[in-house]
Amino acid sequence: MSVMVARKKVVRKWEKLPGRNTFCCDGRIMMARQKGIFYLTLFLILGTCALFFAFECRYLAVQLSPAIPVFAAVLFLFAMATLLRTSFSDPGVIPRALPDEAAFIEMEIEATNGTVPQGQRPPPRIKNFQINNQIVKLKYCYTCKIFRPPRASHCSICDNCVERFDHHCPWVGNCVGKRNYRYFYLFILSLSLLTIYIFTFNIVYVALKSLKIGFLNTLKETPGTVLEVLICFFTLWSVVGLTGFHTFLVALNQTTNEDIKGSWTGKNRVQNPYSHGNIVKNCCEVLCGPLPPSVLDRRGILQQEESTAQEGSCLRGPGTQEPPATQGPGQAQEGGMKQQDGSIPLPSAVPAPSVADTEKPEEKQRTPGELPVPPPDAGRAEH
Amino acid sequence: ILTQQIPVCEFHFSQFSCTFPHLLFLQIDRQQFEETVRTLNNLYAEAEKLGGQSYLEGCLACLTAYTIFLCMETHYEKVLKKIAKFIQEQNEKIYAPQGLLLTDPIERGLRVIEITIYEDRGLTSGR
Repeated sequence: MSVMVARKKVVRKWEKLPGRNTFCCDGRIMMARQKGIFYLTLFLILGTCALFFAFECRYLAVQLSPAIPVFAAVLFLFAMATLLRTSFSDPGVIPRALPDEAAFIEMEIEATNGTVPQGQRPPPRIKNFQINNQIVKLKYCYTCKIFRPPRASHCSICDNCVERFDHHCPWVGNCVGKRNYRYFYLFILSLSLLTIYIFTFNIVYVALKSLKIGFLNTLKETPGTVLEVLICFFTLWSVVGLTGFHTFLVALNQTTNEDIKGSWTGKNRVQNPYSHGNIVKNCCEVLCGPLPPSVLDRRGILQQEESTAQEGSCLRGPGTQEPPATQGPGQAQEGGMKQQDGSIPLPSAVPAPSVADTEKPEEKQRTPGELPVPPPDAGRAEH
Repeated sequence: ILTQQIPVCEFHFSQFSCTFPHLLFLQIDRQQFEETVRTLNNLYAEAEKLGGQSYLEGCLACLTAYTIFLCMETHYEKVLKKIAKFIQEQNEKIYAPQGLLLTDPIERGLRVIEITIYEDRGLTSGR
């Protein structure tokens, strides 16, 4: 005997998120789709460091000091940790407006602008907002259907609006924004130090070897060192230059995007309203300020009902309720306010439907004229 | 139940700026609603505050390549939990009995405070 059972298939929000991102580890890791250059970054760092630890470090630890490989290892681990944090974290993606919110914004815009005659271009969708006695324009994003917060921008590669958007970095395979800028900055800083460190000690190694067996013989004997020197030499200028540029930006509390557009410099001659006017304060805010959690709730649950036929199984009674899905500390609860049993407390005038009702809507007997009661998440659009 | 969701407050620069929605005139006291928003604003300001605790947290995180955040709850997250608890209390005490439901702003990407209006279809259709 086969009985139809309504079984809930757990679908997490990351599976339905719009935008061009890839997710791994059940939504814990978030990256851009184009990851080729990120793998190249990993290969260059791991390869160079592997060669350094395999050849030069052993010799230098004996000849000079055992602290050399230790310090190199610390820098390497620091660079790798910050690279992975930058690459795998949410840069501050702003979720797109849900249908209700989008409709509300459209209504608001129509009320402000009025109806535009055919053939005429509608006025630009801009809201003026004052920050530190300065007018800042909030632009409307037609893709996300929201008025972007100040300093946010839409990344064309990831197809998402990112808060305090800095730039899209293919080397880390992710956007750099509000939530991962500090990781990115520490990554390029530690990578600069690591590159300088390896380059310096490669030169020291070649010099020490040359004293014993001659310069040409050293080059012939250690092709790995030559390769490292070349990689470090060409990497050095770009990475150190980038670190210098970002140090300048951090000191001014500015983003790469604002710098390229010349938002607070050049012809505009407008002062940066986000700057504290103090280098130390700016650095502290950008690198040590409060870090807002991700608002995407990637691992939040969207439940979809799936009917499956099972042999000899019986329907669950109204008393056997599934325990609510547990959530991590940083996750917002799905479906607004929930009671301890996982249901949303509805207003007292409306009785909350029982578990049996929500799980088997087709079996519920209704009196004539009575309307069906939707489940507690009624009216909530999924995103 | 006829549900209608209306975003009532916009979030800019750590604060919600509100215009009291006309739809709620009959259902809730304006002063009460503004008090809720004011409390929320104070809590968000506390979360965003550049205080000694957040600096210390940031410096400690810097020294550990931010790996400390994998096993430690940030000040911001603690305040967000407080906000979620506050919204739950407000819903239970004030909004739910009035046929309303306040959505935690974090669920709407910290953009808006959204109120869901539950109406009895029987009443609205005149039955």
